[in-house]
Amino acid sequence: MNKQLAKWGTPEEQELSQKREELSNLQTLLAQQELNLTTLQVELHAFERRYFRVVGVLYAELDEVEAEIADLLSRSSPKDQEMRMRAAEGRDRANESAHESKMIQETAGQAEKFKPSDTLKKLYRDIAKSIHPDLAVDDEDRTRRQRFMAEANQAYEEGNEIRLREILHEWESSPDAIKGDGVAAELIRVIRKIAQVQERLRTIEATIDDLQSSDLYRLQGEVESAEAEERDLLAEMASRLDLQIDDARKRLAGLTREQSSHA
Amino acid sequence: MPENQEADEKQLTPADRQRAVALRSILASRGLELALNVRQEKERYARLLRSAEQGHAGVQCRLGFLYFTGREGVRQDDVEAVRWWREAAEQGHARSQRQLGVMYVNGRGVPKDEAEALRWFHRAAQQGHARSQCHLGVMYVKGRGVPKDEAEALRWFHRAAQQGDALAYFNLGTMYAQGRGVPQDDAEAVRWWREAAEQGFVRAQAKLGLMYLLGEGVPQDYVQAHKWLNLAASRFWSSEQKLREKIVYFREEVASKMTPAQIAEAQRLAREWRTQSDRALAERLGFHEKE
Repeated sequence: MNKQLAKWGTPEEQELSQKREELSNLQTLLAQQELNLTTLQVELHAFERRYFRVVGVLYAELDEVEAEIADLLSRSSPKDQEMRMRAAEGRDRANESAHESKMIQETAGQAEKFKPSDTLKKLYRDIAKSIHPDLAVDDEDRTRRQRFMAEANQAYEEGNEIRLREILHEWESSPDAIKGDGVAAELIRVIRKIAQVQERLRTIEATIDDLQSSDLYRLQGEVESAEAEERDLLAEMASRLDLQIDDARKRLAGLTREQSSHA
Repeated sequence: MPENQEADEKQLTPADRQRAVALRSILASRGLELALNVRQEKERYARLLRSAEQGHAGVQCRLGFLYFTGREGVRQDDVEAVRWWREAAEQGHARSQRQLGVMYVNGRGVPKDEAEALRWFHRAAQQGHARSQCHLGVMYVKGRGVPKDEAEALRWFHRAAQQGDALAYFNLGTMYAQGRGVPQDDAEAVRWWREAAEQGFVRAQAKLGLMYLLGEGVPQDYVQAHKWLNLAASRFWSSEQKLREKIVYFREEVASKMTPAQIAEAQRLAREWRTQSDRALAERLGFHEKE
């Protein structure tokens, strides 16, 4: 097809320009949604770390004491199946909680609150709009975009504006993927991109729905609305668990005394 | 975006990662439940305190229980429990009078004083409070804070039993079993213990099971013995551990004399009893809620 003719707009070219506009609108939407999703994920992750550090470790402690109690009880009546089962369950739970609390310690020092600046968000949106992997024309292009995007996610999570700028700059100065020429070929590419982007938009929406209906998200909401009342709900929960741990320890001590008086 | 998510967990196997996700989700659920409870409790406690301070006896009584058991985010405190029960008791609240009496008997939150306990049980019993009538009976049986008087004890147990109080049934059973204030009569003991057992009174279930095991006051019946001992054993958990051990010991003793079919039958009867009892309890609670 003749390039000169394209200017005047054959039906195919008009179609192409319409589709390009549609794609451009979708790209803007996609960039915003990617920003929303990533922000939500990073926020939740940060909140989870805080929750684990303040409250999760206490669950590990409580489960450990409860497991010891169950052990002791099952040893004192070895014939009792039900008691043995409870002891085993308690032990499993304690081990799992201990495992969790070890993981928490490993993430110690990482941010526990995520409050991205407007500049950071805008940079991320710009990157998502032009680099998004679902805008790829072939597998090679997709791999390259995924690599860039992964780095951008990392930088966003760290709140690293400088790195985000570098990524955008690197992307813009790197050679574009080779495109086959011709309006028809380009039209097909644009339509395919539109389909990919729409698919990704649906996925994002579903993922956001899932996250927002998770218990962790609801917990975060409770903590935030308590904060609005100037209450530290996590601290209140921790002191509540402290009470339970105290009780459990007392029970354990009582049982231990009873057992040794038996012997 | 998913590509980079959980980069710190890359070394983990997919199974590990799945496990970690499941664990974290469990931990989040436990936290959410606790958070909702804590928020509600704080609000509820503030409401209770306000209303108790305004002199509402029923609320003072509940607050006493909160301090006594140390539930719902309130730190266990016998002295505070006594303080609130006394407030309500002096206003004539029967249940609080009973609780205060129990605290005096056990010397918790106050110096032990059986005469004072008796005085409070008496005030509640006179109002027709069944549990207090039972306690009063026990004070007379044991001669605590008052000269021993088994006839007077029986009189109070019967008054409470007329109101359907399970503890009264149980105590009457014990009086007959031991021949106190009445001629010793195992059949009569079984009759009263059965009433209490059917209401879910654990000690009575244990006693009834033993009577079936020994064939005292009732024809020997291992299936029935197993059923009642099993029900009793299933209800003890961390408290009263020694008693539970005894019950389990006897249950195993019966089981060793039974065929597998008999054991299965006994277990079926126990399950059936529990289902019916749960349903009755739910109905009762539903009824009370409407009141």
